Amino acid sequence: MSTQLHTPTYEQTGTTLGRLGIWIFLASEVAVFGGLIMIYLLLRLGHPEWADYAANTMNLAGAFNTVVLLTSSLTIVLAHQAAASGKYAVAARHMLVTIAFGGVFLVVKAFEYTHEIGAGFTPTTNLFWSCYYLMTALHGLHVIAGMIAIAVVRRGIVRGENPQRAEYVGMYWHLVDIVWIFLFPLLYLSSGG
Amino acid sequence: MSEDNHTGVGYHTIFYVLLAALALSLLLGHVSTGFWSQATIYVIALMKAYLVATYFMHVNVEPRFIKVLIVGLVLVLAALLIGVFPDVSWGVTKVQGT
Repeated sequence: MSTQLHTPTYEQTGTTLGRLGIWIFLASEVAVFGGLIMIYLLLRLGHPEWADYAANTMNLAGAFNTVVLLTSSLTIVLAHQAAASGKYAVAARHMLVTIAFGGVFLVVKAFEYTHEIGAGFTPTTNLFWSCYYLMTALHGLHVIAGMIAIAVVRRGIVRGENPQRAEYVGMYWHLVDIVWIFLFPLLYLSSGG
Repeated sequence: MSEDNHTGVGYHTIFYVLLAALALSLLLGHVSTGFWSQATIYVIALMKAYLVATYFMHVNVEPRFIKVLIVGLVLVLAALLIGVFPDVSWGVTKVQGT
C-alpha cells in the first residue's frame, strides 16, 4: 500500500504511528477552525447586513487563491505518490512547486489586505471585518507553517530519508486547503441576503 | 505515472472535478444571491472537502476509528450550530457593536 510505506502498520490501530499522530493533530486543527467557522455562521445568520460587508471582499482574488490551493493539493499528493515509489527527485520537485503555490497564495492575500485596508476596511471596522481578518490571517499563518514544514521534509526527501513524511506533511497541507474551501464561500460568496 | 489513491480514480480527475465545482460555485454566486443558491454553494463546498479528504488524504483506507473521529468532530460542530441557532435566529442573543 503506497500510503503506508516504510513504517509498520500497528495491529491495534490499523494505521501507522505517523498517520495516527497526524490525524490527532488535524483533529485539533478542525476544532479550532471549525469553532471559528461555526461562530461566524451564527453571527452571520443573526446579521443580514453582513451580506453588504461581504460584497466588499475581492471575489476574483479569492477564486484565484482557491485554484492555487487546489492545484497545490494536487502537487503535494503527487509528491507523496512519487516518494512512495522511490522517485525522490520527482517528489522533491513537486514539493518545491507546492511551496511556490503557497507563496503565490500569500502574495495574493497580501494584495487583498492592502486593497481592503486602503478602502477603510480594517479589523476594527466592524465584527464582520474582525472575523474576516481573524480567520484569513490564522489560515495564512497555517499556510506559512505548511510551507516551512514541506521545506524541512523536502530536505530529507532529497537525500532519500524518511519518504513517509511526504504523506504526513501532505495531509496537513490538504487540511489547509479544506479550511480555505469553506472560508471562500463564507467570506467571499456569502453576499446573498 | 499511474495514480494510486486506492479507489481507481486518478488524482488529476479529482482535481478537475474540484475545479469544475469551484466554477459552479462562482457561477451560482454570480447569477443569484438567493437562499437556495447560497445553500447550494455550501453543499458544493462540503462535497469538495469530502473529495479532498477521501482521495487526497486517503481517509478511505483509514480504520473505522479515524473515520469516527472525523465524523464525530463534524457532528459536535453541527450540534454547536443547531444548539445556538435558536438564540441567534430569535434575537435572544444579540452581539453589541455590530
